[in-house]
Amino acid sequence: MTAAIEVRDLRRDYVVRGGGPLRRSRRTVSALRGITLDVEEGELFGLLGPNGAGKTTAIRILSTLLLPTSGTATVLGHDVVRQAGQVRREIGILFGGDRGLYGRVSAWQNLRYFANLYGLGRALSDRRIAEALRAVGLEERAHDRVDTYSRGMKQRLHIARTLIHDPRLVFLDEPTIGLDPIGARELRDQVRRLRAMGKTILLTTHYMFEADELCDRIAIVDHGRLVALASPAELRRMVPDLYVLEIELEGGRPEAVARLRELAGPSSTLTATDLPDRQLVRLQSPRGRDLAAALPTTLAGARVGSVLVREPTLEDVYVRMVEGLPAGAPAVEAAP
Amino acid sequence: MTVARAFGGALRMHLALYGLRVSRLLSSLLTPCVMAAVGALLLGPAAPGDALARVLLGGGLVGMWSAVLGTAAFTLRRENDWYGTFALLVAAPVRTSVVYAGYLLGETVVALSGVAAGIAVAWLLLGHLDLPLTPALAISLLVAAITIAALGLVFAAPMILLPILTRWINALDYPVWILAGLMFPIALLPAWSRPLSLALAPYWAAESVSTAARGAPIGAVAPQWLAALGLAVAYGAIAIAAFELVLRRARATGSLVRG
Amino acid sequence: MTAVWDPVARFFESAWIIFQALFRWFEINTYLATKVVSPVLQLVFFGLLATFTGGSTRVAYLVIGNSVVLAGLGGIWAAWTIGEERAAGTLPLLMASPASRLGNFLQRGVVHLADSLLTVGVAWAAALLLFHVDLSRADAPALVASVVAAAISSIGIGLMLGSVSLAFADVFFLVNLLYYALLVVAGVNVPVAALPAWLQPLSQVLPFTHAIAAAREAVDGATLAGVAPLLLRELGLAVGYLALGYLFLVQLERVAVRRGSLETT
Repeated sequence: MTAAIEVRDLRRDYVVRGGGPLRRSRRTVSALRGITLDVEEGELFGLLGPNGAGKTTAIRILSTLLLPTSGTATVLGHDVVRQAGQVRREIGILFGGDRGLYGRVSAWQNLRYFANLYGLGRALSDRRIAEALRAVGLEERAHDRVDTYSRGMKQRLHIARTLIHDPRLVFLDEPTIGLDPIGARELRDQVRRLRAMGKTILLTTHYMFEADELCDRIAIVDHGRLVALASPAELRRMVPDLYVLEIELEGGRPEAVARLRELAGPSSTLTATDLPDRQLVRLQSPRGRDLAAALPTTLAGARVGSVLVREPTLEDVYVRMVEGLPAGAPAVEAAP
Repeated sequence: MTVARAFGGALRMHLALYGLRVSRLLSSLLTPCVMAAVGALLLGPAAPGDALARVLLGGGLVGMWSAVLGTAAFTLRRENDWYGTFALLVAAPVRTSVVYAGYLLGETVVALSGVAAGIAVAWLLLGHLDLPLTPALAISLLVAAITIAALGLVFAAPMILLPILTRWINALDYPVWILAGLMFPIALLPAWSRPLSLALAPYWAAESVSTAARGAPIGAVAPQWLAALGLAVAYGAIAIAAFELVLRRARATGSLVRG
Repeated sequence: MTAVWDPVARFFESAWIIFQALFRWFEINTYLATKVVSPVLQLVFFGLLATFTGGSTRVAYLVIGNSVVLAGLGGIWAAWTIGEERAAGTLPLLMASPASRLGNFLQRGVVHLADSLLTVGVAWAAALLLFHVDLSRADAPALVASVVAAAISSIGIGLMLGSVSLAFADVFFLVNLLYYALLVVAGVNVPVAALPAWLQPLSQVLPFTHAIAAAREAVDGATLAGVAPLLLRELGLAVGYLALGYLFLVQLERVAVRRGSLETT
């Protein structure tokens, strides 16, 4: 049973020309350095990494917009280089951002145009356009010019456009980029809906939490290489020591701290900071989840000001994998 | 002094941004060369000197108006869309109309090379050319540049207010070419258009160019210069007032800063 | 029946949508200014120039020539609209679709073809009303065929220049250069025979030269059969331009896919 997407040792180099008029230079930049992965049919697969990691390059190759330098890739059983036509019939693409729509005509006209591009007959086209507009909630504004739309509405129209020919596989390239939090949340709901339709989805993003929330499996790429490939839960388990509990105890109660120390056990780290009227206890432990559950009994009788539970995020995983930062250090936004 | 400095600075800036770019130069040269070529071929080598001079030099002026009108129309877009500097210009203490005037005159400087190019093309096509290059002719060409820039300035203000007008520049080229008698005498036009022609500063300048090209002395050309420059000054005053109005409107409606 | 009709209907429907989508100047005032007022003024200008340089006998010559070359405006606009595709950011989406590249290419010229014919119609009306061009001996089918050939040629070269502009950016300059060159060498204002010998070969490969010559013969009474050789040459050139434009696009796509230069094309 072939996977929906099969990538084998995919490489892509670019020749970058530089220098002024007198001293031209040429150097080769590798955007992808031999990536191998499979995406199963029906999966929501994430490509996660900072800007310049190679995510967009990978999607462009898979959507037949770019030729690889070496390596192979098949989408739904068709080779992306030699069977591009067949691939194109079965895929949908969505780019994040503002462009990719004809602003001077209406949403309906945009959809009709793309429906025609994909060879949909009149009756089918009418039906799909109506369904798509309904699915993304743009029926009311369907006949307004797209350049009057907000960014969020444009993104919804992009989704509608992606669906119009009912592709089996959808590529989403940074779909929430530039969207405000509400718009981004709506878009993520749309992505879940796509997945519920049974479509295979390959999503690229540099928002760690987004990948965490949506994807069945995530591939972390950095500088053109695959750094990790697993489900979000599995990835988080790779940094168990990053589970942190911060407890604020009011009034000095050394026995509470002692109980916590006993609860935490030898594999954890506990630091207590004394302040005039309270104590801050910081517990870092691989058993964080269990500890949190045991807190109420352990702290019975103590006056607890606040409890903060910090689970390791995908960002922690990423940072650990890519930048090699020590556990517990504040996560930084990966440098481009 | 500030005004002069701002004006000079704008002129230089325009030349730096535009004047020396090859594609722009070619555009500025294209119209006059084509017009001069058509005129020269229509008249043929045996044509009387006056007619030839009018057509060739007129071709250069035709190109100059086209270039100036284009600058008047698209400066706003350049400042707003490409450089994001329009609001900064308006916020500066010197009048925006002065800055535009600098741009437009800068454009005429480039367009003067178009006049030369047109003559060169005609010379190429006809094999010979007799054009008296007198001081009177040189001054007449400068006067033409000033009047054309001044007329352009009058057009610039409405184009800031109503950007859609910028799409009409094709239609606004011809009326000036025709009414100002740039390439042919206005005697060919119907009588009712005469007042319009006489009110156009470029008309007087074009007449002075024609007169000077016939070899007339400065004394004969000077009255036409005066008429041309007088009207140009009036245009300047109108343009300054128009700019103030337009910019006040823009500040009221909040359309000064894009995005 | 639907099987045959559907693709045809789709083709024209998409042509109309894409025309509206990419054609920036599609609103009534601008249309009037640039497609009615400006062409008429062009006729007036060159008509008067003709009077000045050669008297009334020249006028008909220039007016007929300019009336036909105004079909070129449609092609110029077709060229612009192709450039707009890049601004809309839709090129990658088009490339990722399975749609026929040739169909897509031709769609961009369809509405401009109709537009070209309309402009020429306006120009001829002006020629009759303002300059009293004598059409008493004219052969209508031949004249109409000449104009149609000119319009097709205009779209052909317009689409070609538009394709080229996707790679080289300055379509505005290219089309203006072409239009102005035509005014000199396509026999619009000056007979080709009056041009210097080294320029004349250029006239033979540029659009409109043959259509304009055919139009003049048609006005003089030549029949469709009589002007056919000229028209065939004009249409041959038109097909040549279209082919070049299409091949260029295909090549451009090929290069873009290899180099990854899609966003910058």
